[in-house]
Amino acid sequence: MIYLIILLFFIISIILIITIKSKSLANTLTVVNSLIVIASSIYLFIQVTFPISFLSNDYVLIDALSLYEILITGVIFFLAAIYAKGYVSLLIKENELRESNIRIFYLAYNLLLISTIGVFVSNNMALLWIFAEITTILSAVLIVILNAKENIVAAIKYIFITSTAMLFSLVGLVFLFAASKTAGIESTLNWNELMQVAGQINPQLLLFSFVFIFIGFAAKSGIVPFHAWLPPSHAKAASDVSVLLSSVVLNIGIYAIIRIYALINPTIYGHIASNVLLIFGIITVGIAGFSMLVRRNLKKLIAFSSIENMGFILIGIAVGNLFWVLFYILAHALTKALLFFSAGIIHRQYDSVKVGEIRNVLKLQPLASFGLIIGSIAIIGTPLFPIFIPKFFIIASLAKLSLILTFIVLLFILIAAGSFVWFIIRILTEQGNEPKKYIIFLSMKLPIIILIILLVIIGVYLPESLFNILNLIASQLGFGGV
Amino acid sequence: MNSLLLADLQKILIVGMILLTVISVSRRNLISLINMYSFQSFILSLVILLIFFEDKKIILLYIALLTIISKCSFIPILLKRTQKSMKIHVDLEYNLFGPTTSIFISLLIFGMLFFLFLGIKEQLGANSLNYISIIFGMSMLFIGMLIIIARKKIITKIIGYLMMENGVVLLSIFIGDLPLLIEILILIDLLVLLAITSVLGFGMNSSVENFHVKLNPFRKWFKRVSEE
Repeated sequence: MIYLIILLFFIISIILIITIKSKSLANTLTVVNSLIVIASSIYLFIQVTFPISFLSNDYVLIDALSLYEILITGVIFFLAAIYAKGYVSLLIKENELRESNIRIFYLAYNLLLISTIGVFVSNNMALLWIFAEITTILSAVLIVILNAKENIVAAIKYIFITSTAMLFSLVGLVFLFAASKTAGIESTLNWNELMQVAGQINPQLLLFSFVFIFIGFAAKSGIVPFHAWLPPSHAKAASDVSVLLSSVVLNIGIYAIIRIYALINPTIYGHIASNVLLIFGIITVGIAGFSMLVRRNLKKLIAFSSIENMGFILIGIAVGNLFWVLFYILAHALTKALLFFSAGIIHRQYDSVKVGEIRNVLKLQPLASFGLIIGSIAIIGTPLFPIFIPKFFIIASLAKLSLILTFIVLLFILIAAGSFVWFIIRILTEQGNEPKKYIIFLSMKLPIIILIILLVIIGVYLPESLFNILNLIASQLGFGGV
Repeated sequence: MNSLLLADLQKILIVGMILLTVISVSRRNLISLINMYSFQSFILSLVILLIFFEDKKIILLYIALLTIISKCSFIPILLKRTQKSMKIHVDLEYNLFGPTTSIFISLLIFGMLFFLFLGIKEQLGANSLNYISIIFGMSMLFIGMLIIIARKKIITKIIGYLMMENGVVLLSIFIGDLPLLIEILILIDLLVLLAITSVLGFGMNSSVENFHVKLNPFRKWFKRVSEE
């Protein structure tokens, strides 16, 4: 019943956004929608035992992993919605966004929220695939909403690379569907049923479908060599959209990879799948690290950092340390959001995010530069910030596997961290004739302040409830807890 | 009709589908490309209908009807309208590979897939017709991707994508019947297409510039080496 009411509220708010031509109303509704998502997921965590089933055929199912991802999604959408209030009006003032497109913007924004939740609650893998495709389309709409030709090119690149790769995923799903028959059950794509019989599915067919499914979702989360769409689309999109793309939409791919890897892990070909993930992860971290060295555009740098982190998450999944992978996903989402929010303010101030054009930033935009400093310290994995602990433990697990690979990964991470810090130092110390100070709304500053506080808290203190949830998810998926 | 004849008919039709895909790799006239796509979809729906005559599963009839409505009429009309509004008739430009190389590569893909899939043929419990449709479906998938990579104009890329999707439908009908889901997937593809065309409507010319700029230095180098 309560779910129906929530769904009804979403539908009503979307209709209101379409029909009533008011900026502030659309924004308020968006904020309220994401608040509802946060509130209901916290409520479900506290009150209900898992899994929660809705339909008799189990197409839609909520378990702890889905709820955890939904909670992250809700928080990021909430913060980005607050940020959007100020940012969108600045975009209109600067003539980068047409007034008539605002409703489309908020419509796509809310639909993206709903379809992302759809991805996380689908138990049927084909349904998950469909929702993932819809998120691609909606993100592309959010990218092209700005008045610039480069955005169209970026969005088209995004659609073509991701949808083409996702078709391979679909082939993988068809094979998985056929493979499920070999376990002696009626063919199905329901993840919970597959998980129960995972050990009995023909391992060769399962490996085959794993590889195909992996291709599509790797493209969705920007893994090298399918990453070509990521830097332009993250850099050209409006900054609050970049936050959604980087902190939420990339998670979709990783989420699907975790699910499908959990299926193949108990079979005899589990180690092959793990090696596939490991190789792709290491290559991704390496390529992203070296690409970051030569960047001159702040948002592109942050985008490449996303690629690097996705590669690292893949390594974490491959070594089987799911507990810390999940924590890493949360930490990365929050940190990336902070970085893109700060970059958005700098973009407004200088109308550019390139080295050499950003001058006297500490004096002109103290909060944004503070956010940038904290964010970059956090993203490279400095102690006292949340990325440090999961990074440490994942590398420790990798070291048990192979010492040489550990050194290679550490070297790549060092390169990435070095290029990040070097870049930030360059833009912070640049002096020159001072442009006029740009007035930034409070609604844009608020998310940055909230995120800094959140990052510091999570960095030093892991709440017991979060610990229990992560442990529960890891054991549910067949990986050991901590 | 006896089932042997039906199977042979299906084989012939599937061969027709893959031929159309290979021809579209090198086709330059956009109208003819779009027609080829709708013809291919028509053959696909015929194949589905033939299976329906054999299996008598009513859901297959729905899929065949949906294919005819969406892929033989709706999508081609939409594509033709877009093509008219963009005022281009031919797609002459190629990235990476020229037309001859592309056709040669498609043959290579086909041969490689044939041997690769021998390994898992038995696990799937596939008979010769199923095996052929798997190979052909996969080949259509890869050759469609080749079209996306090798051609420059967006409309041609869209057709490559749609042909890939036809390959997936062919594959899924023979090895997994996922009936209800396929129906939804067709709708999703329409959505993707509509999104792409609306993106075009926002004011894009016709080709994705700087899509392959990064590869250019290698190509020039390669050209120079081969000329020497």
